[in-house]
Amino acid sequence: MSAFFIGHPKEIHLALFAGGELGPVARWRIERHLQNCESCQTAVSDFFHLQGDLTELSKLPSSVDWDGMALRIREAVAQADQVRTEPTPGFFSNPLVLRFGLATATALCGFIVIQQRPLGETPQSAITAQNQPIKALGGARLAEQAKAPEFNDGLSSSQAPVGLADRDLKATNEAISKREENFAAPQENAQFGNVQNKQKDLVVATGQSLPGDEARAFAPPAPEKKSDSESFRVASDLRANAGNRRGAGRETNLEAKEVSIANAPARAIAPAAPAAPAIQGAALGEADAAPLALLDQVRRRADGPALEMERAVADKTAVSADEITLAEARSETAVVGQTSRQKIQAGQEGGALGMPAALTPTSGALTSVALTSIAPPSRAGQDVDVDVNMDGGLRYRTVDAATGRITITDVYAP
Amino acid sequence: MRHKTAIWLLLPVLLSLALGPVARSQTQQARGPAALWQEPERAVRIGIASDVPLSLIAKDLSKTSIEVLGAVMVIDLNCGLEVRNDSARFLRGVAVGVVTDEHAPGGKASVAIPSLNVPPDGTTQFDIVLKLVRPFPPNSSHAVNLDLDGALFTNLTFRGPDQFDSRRKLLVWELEAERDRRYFKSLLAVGGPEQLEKAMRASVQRQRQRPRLQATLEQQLRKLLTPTLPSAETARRLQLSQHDLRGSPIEIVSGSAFVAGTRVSSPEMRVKNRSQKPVRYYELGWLVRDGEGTNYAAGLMPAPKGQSRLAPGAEASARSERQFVFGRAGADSFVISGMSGYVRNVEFEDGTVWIPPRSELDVSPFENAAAVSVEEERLSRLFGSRGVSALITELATF
Repeated sequence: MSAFFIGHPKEIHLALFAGGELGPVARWRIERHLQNCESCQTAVSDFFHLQGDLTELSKLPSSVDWDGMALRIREAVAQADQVRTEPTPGFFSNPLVLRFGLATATALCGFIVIQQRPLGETPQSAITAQNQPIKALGGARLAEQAKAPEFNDGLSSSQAPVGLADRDLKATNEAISKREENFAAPQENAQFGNVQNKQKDLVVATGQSLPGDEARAFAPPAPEKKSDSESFRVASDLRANAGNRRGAGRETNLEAKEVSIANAPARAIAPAAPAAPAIQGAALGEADAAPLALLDQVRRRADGPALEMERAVADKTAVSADEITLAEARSETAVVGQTSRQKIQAGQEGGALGMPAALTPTSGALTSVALTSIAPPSRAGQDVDVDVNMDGGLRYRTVDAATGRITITDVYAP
Repeated sequence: MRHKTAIWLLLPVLLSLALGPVARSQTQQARGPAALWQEPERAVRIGIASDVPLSLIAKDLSKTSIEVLGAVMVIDLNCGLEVRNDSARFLRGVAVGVVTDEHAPGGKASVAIPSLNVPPDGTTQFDIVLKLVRPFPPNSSHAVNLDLDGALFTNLTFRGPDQFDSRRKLLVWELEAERDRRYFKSLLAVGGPEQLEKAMRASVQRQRQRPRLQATLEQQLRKLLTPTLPSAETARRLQLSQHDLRGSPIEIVSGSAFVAGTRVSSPEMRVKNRSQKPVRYYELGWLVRDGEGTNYAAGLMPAPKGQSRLAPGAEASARSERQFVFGRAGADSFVISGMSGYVRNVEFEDGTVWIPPRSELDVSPFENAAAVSVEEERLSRLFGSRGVSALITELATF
């Protein structure tokens, strides 16, 4: 407890503080609070160590300048007049369902009106009388919506009047239309011509891969894609293992804080339909939450190859003893930017001409390892060697075991 | 009465039929620009400069996926390209620049495919596989820009915009390839296939047994709250020893780094141009020695940006302000007992490039610590999969 907070800072703020993602004022306030609050000190310490664990477990690139990213994201959110919510495709987004629901609701209303009409009253007066409370209720709801709390769960206290929101929405929509006109092809402009009445929101888009028209035979097969839930389960196992290595008490903390961080961006993003000025006011909170959302998402994606590697380790017939050791070490450390070679290939010891398995091109039953989210991802039958560039970049030497083609990728530090 | 009831029941159906198309269009509009940006064909641009004698035959973006996460785009780029060599010379290497946002971490990369041997009018296929992030929405018309940065042909002719230093890199790899092919050809000429096979087996063994070091760049996040180092790990400045390679135009005068346990920070090397030609760029290698005397390649140190030009006799310092943590897979502890540096390659002002002679790299500590060249790795893989006769055939094509 301190003079700067009533109670304690929110967990998300402590997490952002531990990650150095807060602005100077918020950071100062929390620092002052931490001076006298032992429980928050512990929480920050846990978050800090969790950052390290996540960093290792998620194979995030060590060269990422999170501060720079946060700045960029803030800038992008500041331009949030072009960003809006894409409603999650669901049951009620189906036009047929909407149509049927509307018809049913109207039919029910009509049925109720007919059935409850008093004797001697004209149908028109009955309908009018029935609509009075509905109108009143609708007005109350509109008033409540106008006073609805900010989507940012208290991060921003600004509440724009309805009129102001509408005006800003109009300006924002015009900006969106201009941007879309610039972007979309002429035939698509008509599709996005009527966006003026759409509310602004943050985009929570579901990733979808759109098949191209020119699928070609020469492209090698992609690795088997793991579901997010499956990858996440393995990632959790890996984290649990990491926790076990540090002691049982640490494991509990790790898991608990993991849930907190994973949920934090969802809380910030999920509530619906803030007006455009509210987005501007809450930009700081969103920007702070976005890297965590990305962190979580990227970690799940990067855990896919880890899953494959785990399976490979479990299936010890697929790899040599050395490679199992290496794979196990990789599972445990998952260090980014290492010079060691992630040589996880299929093949028996002593391949063609007695060559060691690690250098014997094979059919690629096993995979190499995805290193970072910003790196050549793993593909079946690949061999990756990493060099740390002292200026912060990374150099990957990737060998396709099937073709023998060597590719060198330089990822530059910003 | 019945007639009126039927009208009331029919009315909603008519209303729904009328409002249905409106609801559908609203749903389509809601997907908006985010959905458009997720179409790889729209989001990814592939360009080849007009002065590069290569033409794009085919592209495959079907395995590329793009996700929009709030204000961030995560681009899983998996692009297959097929290009034709329109020049009269053999194509030796290609480099492609990939840019999403120059200022975003992970927004800029280059992909090079060295050790090619594509005849005139021949085609070659290669994949560009990267994961990239960038802010959303993009402020340009494309989320990802793939531009052919250059192509290297026989006689070391380079064509292309060279925005990513591709000329120097392709040139170094090609010179190393020529050097190593010459070496293996000489073995074949002197000792026959047996000698070549013996050398290849040694190379394979060397690659397999090369000790690996995990060198991790210290995270900025962690650095913010890094606790004070214990007194036992108080940083000490460790001097670097120098490996003076024969014929090197650059001499490493001195070098040092702060070492605290397994952490190394602020490595610095001071170099001097002892040649008669001005130097445009140089690249230094960094070796770390553990308590048992085993050397590991720790990484590469490029010349400082904008200060790499060295007149004859001039001195300059290459340094990094980053912090690294070293470790060894499967080992509980790693003790840094020594560090050393060597010159990996030098580019002169006139565009020529120097690389170390093979004889210098076949001795300790390089033979066990440094990675083999791209070409040697390619040839050893060919030898491993198809035998010495295929290797001899391959060497004869150059």
